[in-house]
Amino acid sequence: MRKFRVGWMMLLGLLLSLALAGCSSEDSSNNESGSGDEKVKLTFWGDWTGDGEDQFNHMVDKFNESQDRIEVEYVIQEDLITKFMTGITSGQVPDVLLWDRWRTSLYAPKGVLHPINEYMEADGISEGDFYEEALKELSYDDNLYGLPLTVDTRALFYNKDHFEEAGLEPPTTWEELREAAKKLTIKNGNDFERVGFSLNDLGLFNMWLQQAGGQMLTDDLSSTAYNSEAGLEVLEYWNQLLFEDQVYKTGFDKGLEGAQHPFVTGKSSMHFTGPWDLRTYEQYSDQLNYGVVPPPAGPNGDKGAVMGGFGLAVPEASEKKEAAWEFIKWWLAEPENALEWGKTSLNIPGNKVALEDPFFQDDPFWKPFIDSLEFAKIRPVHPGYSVAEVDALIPNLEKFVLQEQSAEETLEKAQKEGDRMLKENEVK
Amino acid sequence: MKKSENLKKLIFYIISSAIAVIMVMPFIWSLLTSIKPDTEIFRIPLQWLPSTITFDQYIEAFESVPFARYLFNSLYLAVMGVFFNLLFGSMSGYAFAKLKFKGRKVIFAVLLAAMMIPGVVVMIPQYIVLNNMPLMGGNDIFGQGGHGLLNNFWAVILPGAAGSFAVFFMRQFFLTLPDEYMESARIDGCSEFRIYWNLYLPLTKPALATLGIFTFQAGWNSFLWPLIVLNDRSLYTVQIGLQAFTFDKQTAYGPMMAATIIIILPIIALFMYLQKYFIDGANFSGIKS
Amino acid sequence: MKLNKINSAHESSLSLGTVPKKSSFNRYQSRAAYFLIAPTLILFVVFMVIPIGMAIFLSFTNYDIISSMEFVGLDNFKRLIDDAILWQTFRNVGVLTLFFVPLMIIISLLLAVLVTQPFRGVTLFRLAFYIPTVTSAVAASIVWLWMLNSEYGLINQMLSYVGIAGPAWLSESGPAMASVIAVTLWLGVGGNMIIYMAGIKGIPTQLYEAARIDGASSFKQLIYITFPMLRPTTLLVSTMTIIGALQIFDQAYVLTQGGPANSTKTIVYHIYTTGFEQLQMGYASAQALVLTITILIFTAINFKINHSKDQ
Repeated sequence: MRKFRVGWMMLLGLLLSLALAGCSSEDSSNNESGSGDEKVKLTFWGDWTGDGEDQFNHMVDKFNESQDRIEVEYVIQEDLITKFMTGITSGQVPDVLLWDRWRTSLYAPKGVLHPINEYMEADGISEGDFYEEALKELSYDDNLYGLPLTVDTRALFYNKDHFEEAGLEPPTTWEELREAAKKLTIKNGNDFERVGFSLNDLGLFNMWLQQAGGQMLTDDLSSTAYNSEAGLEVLEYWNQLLFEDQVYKTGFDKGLEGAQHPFVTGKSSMHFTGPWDLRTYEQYSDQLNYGVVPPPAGPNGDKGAVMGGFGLAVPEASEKKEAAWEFIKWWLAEPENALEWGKTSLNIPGNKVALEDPFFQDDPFWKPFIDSLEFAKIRPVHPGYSVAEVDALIPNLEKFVLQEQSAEETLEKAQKEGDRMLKENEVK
Repeated sequence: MKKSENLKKLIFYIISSAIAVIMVMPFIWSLLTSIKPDTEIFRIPLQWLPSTITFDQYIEAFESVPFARYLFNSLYLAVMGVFFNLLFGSMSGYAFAKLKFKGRKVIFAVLLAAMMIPGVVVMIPQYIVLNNMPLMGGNDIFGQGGHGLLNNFWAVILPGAAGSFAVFFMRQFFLTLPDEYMESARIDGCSEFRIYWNLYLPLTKPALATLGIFTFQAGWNSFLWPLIVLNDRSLYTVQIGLQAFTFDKQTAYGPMMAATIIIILPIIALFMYLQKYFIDGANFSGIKS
Repeated sequence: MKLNKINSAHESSLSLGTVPKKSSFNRYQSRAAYFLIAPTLILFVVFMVIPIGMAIFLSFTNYDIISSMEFVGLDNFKRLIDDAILWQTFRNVGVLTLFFVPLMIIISLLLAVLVTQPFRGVTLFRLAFYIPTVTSAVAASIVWLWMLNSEYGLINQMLSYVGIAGPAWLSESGPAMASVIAVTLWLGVGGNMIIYMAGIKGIPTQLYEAARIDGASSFKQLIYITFPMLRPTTLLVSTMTIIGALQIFDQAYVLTQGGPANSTKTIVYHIYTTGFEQLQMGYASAQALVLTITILIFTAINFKINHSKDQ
């Protein structure tokens, strides 16, 4: 018993002293404005790690070196948006925030981001330098809430070796895509040796719909518009690919990543993806010879692509907004820096002037993306759009590709649920 | 006689081995992946054994993320969690099981009911409570001005010690212990606290060991709550560190599996160490004279 | 209380010198009890009762975490009625719980029996059965995601060796739910196994000796001694399992993202997206309230079924 007691006492003492040590780790992330000659210190939050962290730090270091009034520190926050939300309630926000642009429609109306219109005007920055759609995605009610950091869209990646073998040209229309997929599919009884085209991402319905000449929401954003002729055309096309021509099997790609991905192992001849896969495919260039073309045009010649990407924003609660703007302006509004960013991170910057550089224009990999960005549209800026897509539309599409309901039924149900979600999530 | 004994033995080993394979397979795959070079990780057809063994993934894991620091943090949080939960849980569990007092049933029911509230909706209120804790972290007596207990290890430990599982668990165990000890000890003039501390508590070693492992593992594996309440990277835990290997729709599987293995080792060590409590636990053959 | 008064009156009339009077004894016992439960209660009030009170209050508002909050009365609850997705998640979780809870209890109890047998190597088996529990659900789900792939995943490859063409586990509704149940069982049986182990250790060995002398087979011993003696433990395990099953989140999130067609979307997953992604924390709190009541009902039923000698 006695030994037992002493042991406990020592343990308790040790733990308490460690606890006090834990208490004294003062936060360095709190904003304290320096006095006069001292540098203004900014915190920049993002969730990019590994290579992404290096890329950010590269730009941060360059900025810090280029002047001596402001010093920026990049801090990784793993669950960025949750950290931001809880940070708002406790007053601990960064000065610059990596911002997923599509969130603007939900967060901006709540006044948590600071509009930059006055800064833009004061510094004579022209909005025309940037992709109009990207700026739209960062706006609410005539206010602009940040500048685009990256723009991306999906293009059609195809296996050059397979195409050469079959004597095919990369497709430019739905029909050509279908024909190519049919020729490239190799089956062994009921098993797929190779799928001609991976129709695996039902979330790309938006893209397909645009190619069919339709749109996701009505122009005034009040209700869904995908239950239409165009919508039915998309589903009919999918039906042909999946069940008539049988160029793909649902679930074929699921769970396979990196070197196991069917496109890399040659088990899939075509699929849609974005610039982020560049690094992966280069790693496996010994076994994969691929090419990129913009998404194909629909039956009436309509082109469609969805634009996504990040921006940099300034939280309303930050106490160093002017300095934060200086940083953002340096990085994104000055073409040389935006170009440097694009080159070192292998992302497409949102600054169109930077993109005129031959680095992007002359590269057969980047060109198709830049061409697609010409007609790419952002997702609708309704705060309820994403939940309508995820909870109303996609589950019904999933039932459709499992042949559990007809195309008409799918779109009917998706419309009903989708409209309800839009209503419940509109800006009050 | 011997034949049926051997038959039993055989059945035991066959069944146990089959189950063990299912249980352990993903872990083995993780282990093998962590010692493979990058190019071999996702080969088709499936390749179990690495052709060359490399510890590069481990080096990569420790280099990308300050794992040593995170291991210490996680260890500290888990140990503190075990200490408080075992102490408070056994104290309360004993009281609810063995002592009579007013409100015993009601309070216990309330404690139990609290376990049924989904954590997600209590998180933000808990966060706010921590933020407005009076006289902590720069707060005045009304809890305004600073950031309370946030960004501090106590923000993880204290709410963790408020859980009812430890109480429920220890109470159930105490219920299986006979009351006779208590009564004879009282006749001998022992104080209630000594009855609890010196008499009954040592009898609960297997339960304490079990609860200890549970609590340690819960603390070790928790991700979302520490992420929300801790701001300084120097305070982060290993689970938060693990997230660093996924970014921009890509996952660095090699270092991630290496990190996963590193993270599992302390718990396995603790588990093996506590085995002796499972083996020589309290066995009641009657009241000891 | 009345009983105590009668007792104390009785005692004083018998005047047994050495035994303290019942009434002061009860007070003494109560004081000791309150002292013992004080730390738990204080923490509980600060970190549970107050936040829960806040959450209940929030369910009557349109709180969005980051800006203003207005009282909206019963609007959130009215909205619940038409929330088709929420009811779907209730159905999903109902099905899941029905299969999951009995399987969990039976498997973990049997595993505990297995690893408390006096055979060599038992410690290794204990470790093997326990290892899944210590793997974080996220890391494990990533590995399972790969193992369940319909063409190249380990499971279907193994099945094909015995001539079965496995389904697209995570892309079809039925198999997806089965996968979530299986992975959750895999993650959880180890933990409950050691709870049962602690319980088994508490069973007096004489009971088994006496039974063996009477000629009972091992199987009979299992049914007539082990199971009944473990009732308090089973109450604990079943309660925790039910509460856990109704709140599953991690696995559904990583393995299936609630699909296909929301067939594996769990209640907590939905509450999480409503509160944290759509910033409708007030409504999410209302949803959570409904879930809490559900859990209370299930737990109460469970207590009635498994109620043994605890009062």
